[in-house]
Amino acid sequence: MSDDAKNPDLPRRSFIRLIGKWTVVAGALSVGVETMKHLPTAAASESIISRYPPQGPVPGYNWLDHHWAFAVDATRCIGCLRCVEACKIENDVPFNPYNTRTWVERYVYLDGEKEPHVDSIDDPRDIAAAGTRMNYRFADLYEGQKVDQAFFIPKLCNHCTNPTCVEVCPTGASYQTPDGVVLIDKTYCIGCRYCVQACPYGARYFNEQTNTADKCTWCYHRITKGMKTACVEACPTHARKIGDLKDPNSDVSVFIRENRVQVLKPEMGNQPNVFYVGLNKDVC
Amino acid sequence: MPKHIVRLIMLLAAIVVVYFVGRAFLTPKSFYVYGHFRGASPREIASIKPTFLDPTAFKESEPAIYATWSTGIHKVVPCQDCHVGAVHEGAKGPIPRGPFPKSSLELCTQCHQKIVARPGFQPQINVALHAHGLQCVTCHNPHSPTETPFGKPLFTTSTLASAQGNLAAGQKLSAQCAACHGAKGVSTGPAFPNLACQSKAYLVTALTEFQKGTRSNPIMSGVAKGLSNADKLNLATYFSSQKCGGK
Repeated sequence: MSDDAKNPDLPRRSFIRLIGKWTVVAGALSVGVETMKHLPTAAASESIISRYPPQGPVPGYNWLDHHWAFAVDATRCIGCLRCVEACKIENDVPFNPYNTRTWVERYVYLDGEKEPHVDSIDDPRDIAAAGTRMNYRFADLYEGQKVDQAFFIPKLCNHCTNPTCVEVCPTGASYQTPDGVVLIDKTYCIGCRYCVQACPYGARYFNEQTNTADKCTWCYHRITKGMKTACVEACPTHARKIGDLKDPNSDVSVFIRENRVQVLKPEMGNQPNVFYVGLNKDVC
Repeated sequence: MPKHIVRLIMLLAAIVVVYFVGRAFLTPKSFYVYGHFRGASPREIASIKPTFLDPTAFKESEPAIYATWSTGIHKVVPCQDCHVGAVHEGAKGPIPRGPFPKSSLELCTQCHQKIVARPGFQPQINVALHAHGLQCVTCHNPHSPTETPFGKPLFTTSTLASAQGNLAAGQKLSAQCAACHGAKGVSTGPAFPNLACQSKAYLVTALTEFQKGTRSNPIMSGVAKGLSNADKLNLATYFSSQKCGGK
């Protein structure tokens, strides 16, 4: 005995099929209408072109005219950490010794030892010397010990030509601009920390205030206005320089021309854009 | 075509439609304009207001200090390195030091404490031996540290440093200093600075300033009044020739 025989007016199966068909049709119609609303119209595409010209989205700044680079003369660094403090204030970086966009490391070779002792502001002894999370200083370690060689190395994001952090970002929150700066779109970052792991220089950290990855931007809000970065402004010994490689007379172009510069970990293939004088083989 | 294959094809088609519709809704407008990122993001980052100011911003509001600073050896140190609060009123984050640093002894030694790895060109002090627990600004003008806080040159190398006083006369005179500063210039308590191995030029300058009243101290202002120029030089010669820490 069939179902139709039981319910001659509107059989159950036919009813369900009918409802299903109409649901699909109605859904497709509403989706289609909504999609039409989102399709770019002629007026909308015009405003996109005016808001996002090839010269870049920053008003009054042409990113095709610049290629930023950074230079560090490590022989001039006195380890005063003014750069770290300046950066933290300028860029709203959390005031603790562990989260920094730029930092300074101290390499000390004691007499008769082959491996260097390395410390930075996150070393417990240096934290004790500073006494507060608002202040950073290098403690007077190694007192009375015979030191063969010792120096400071300032570090920051290398804004690599081949950035691994951008490579691994699953959302497009990390990106590279045509003027050679690697930036983070904090509204688009999902905080997966994959980029923090991927950076061979340890330049990224996880910002627990914003719940996003964070790193040096070379003060993009300053260099696009013709200013120097906060750390370069703060450095009392001119150990740090920011400049435009497309300008042959910029601080960095002159520095690279006049010195035999090196980069950190060239074997990684990242092609860093922070150029150093005064490294040695153990600095990485 | 069998029914189950048709259903499979329809399901796949539905998934493809949902994917494209979802992408059209969820992708920001400026995404892919310049590449695999939101095109508006660089503009947002570039629109942050810079808070660090160039020192020339204070040329008009602080003309006297600006003149001292810009002619002294500290002209390489921009204002914000010490006066953080003054320069960062717009800063969102916490400000480590107010407009006026609380302790110059703590602040100045960030750059000038003698520590391993600090390169030789940087002037460095052994804090315990040099400062005797005093604040740096007691003797140095922070805006131009080769001058005293009263605008006098701290090290008048030309005359004072080369002038030789009488060592024996100085030792005789030093009897009146011994009660506080010690017979050999090593002080009897933390309230009194050590004078042993202190710069001769500095000692003469300090005594002169106590005499003139540009520097004042209830005890020293009285003691210094009765000293002649020769006395000051003799005393300074005696104390500067004593060994640091009396050893």
